[in-house]
Amino acid sequence: MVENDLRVLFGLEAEAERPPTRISIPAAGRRARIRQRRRQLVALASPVLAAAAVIGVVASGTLFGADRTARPAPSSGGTSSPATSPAKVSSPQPSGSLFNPLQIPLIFGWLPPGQHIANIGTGRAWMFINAGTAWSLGVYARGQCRLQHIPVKPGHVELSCTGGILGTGESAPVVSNAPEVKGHRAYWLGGPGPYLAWQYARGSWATLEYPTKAPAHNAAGLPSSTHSAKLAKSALAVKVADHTIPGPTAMPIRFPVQLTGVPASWQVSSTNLTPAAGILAAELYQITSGPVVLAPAGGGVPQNTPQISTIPARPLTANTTCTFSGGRPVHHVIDGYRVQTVNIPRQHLQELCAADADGLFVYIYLAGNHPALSASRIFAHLHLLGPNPANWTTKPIG
Amino acid sequence: MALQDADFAAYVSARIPALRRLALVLCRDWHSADDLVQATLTKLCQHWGRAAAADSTDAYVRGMLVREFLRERRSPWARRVDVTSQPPEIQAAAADLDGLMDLQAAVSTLPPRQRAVLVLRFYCDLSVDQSAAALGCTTGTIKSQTAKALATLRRDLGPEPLASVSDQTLHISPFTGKVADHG
Repeated sequence: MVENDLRVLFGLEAEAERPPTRISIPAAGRRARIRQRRRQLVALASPVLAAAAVIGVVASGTLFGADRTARPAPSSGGTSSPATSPAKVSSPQPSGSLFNPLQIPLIFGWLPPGQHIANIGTGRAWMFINAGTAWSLGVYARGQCRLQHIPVKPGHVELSCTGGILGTGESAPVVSNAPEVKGHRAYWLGGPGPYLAWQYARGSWATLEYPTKAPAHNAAGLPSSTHSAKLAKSALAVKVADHTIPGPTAMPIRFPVQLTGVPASWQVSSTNLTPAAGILAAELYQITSGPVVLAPAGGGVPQNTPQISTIPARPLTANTTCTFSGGRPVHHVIDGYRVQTVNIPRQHLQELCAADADGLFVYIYLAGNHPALSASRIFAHLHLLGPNPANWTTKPIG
Repeated sequence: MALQDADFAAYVSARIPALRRLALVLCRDWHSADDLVQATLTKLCQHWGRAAAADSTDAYVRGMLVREFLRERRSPWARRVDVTSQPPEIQAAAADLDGLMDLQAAVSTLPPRQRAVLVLRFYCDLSVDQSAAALGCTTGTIKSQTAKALATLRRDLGPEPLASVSDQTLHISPFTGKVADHG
């Protein structure tokens, strides 16, 4: 029987002499975090930069320094790259309906005991706040979400949002009505959730992902039934939603690095923040240049967008090492700092990492074809403010 | 987050040997196998919350690894570059070796998806339903892929039965620990 022989063969193959493993669990963690941030940024950075503006500046070879007051070219220019061509982006939203990535529009006002804000991602079209291990608040700018009928399911309705519901998909089906949140109609959503969704302001939606794992015992110490635990979780979700409060938060957003000497059109498009010592430390942020346009939901990786990440709030150890997407790192010294760079022309990708630059872990990710721009040049224009949050700035671009 | 990381590290540390073995059977060389496990662990770390909450974390991870294998094989890089020229060395009695090597050669010609299905069915000892869940496809697909793969192997190996390697052979499933007598 071939089946039996296959069992024997696979069993013997699996027992072949094993060389020492090259698998690294810490490396998996680091790469996962980098990917997670990129994924969040892709979703957050629906406002991709107008390639025409950057290409125009790059072609002149004066990206840095020359014309700080230069205004970007119209986004409808003929030099747009395929990734940002007008045909691929949705209609620009009125700028008044988008968020300022340096402000938090809505935040948790109450969380169950033991749950704390873990990290925040801000962007122009939507933002998220993660708390504990399972709570996640998604806040969408006005006009970014809408209720619509599901085409293939007559009579069924879904909530569809730009960038997807918390980045997990483009839409989520409405399962049933939920208790009102702050006097606004609310819904339970299915799909990858469950989520509670409500309008926190006219035309502006928020979603709350909440834990579904049933506790083994209820408050009285008795074993919970699945149904009662589900009801308790739902009630808790409504309470958390009811206690959300509009921003800005009392905690300032501070950056451990400042980008200087760049054109005036450069602006922060998204951030990833971590609460630390009374501030929101910007561990990662992404820069765009030019007029803000919205990419289609789930659009590709933004091109021409330098992404800068630092890990200032964590103590650096001798084990803090740089991990790259691929390629062979080249060692340099820039302004006295030891850095490693990777250039993968085939993928139009550049990365720079400094494991310890004045107590900061700095990582720059640059995607896109820029003959005159490099991760090294961006690093040279970074003013490093050290690991002490007291010295950090609220202005990431000086 | 730190607790989550600790859980992840503890789980993965215990499972790496089994994952490496499964990856080796799929990839057929240790370098590719380790790369596959590394890529799987990165994804697993990203989705650890979901994996930890799954009914069977092992099954979740196994499916993730096999799907990652298939994804890699579909990539333009894998289509251009074949690095699996040296299959794992197998140790068996001399009388059994020829038949096994013929089978190994025949299996190496199978498309990645058919190979993955055979590995799930005959190495991981999964049922058709479990294999379908692991690959995220229908049971019909598993059945048809299995049938096609076995037909190809039978055709390639000819009518002669393989040497009786399976007599009294015990196989221990790396995931279930179940011992099956295939004699």
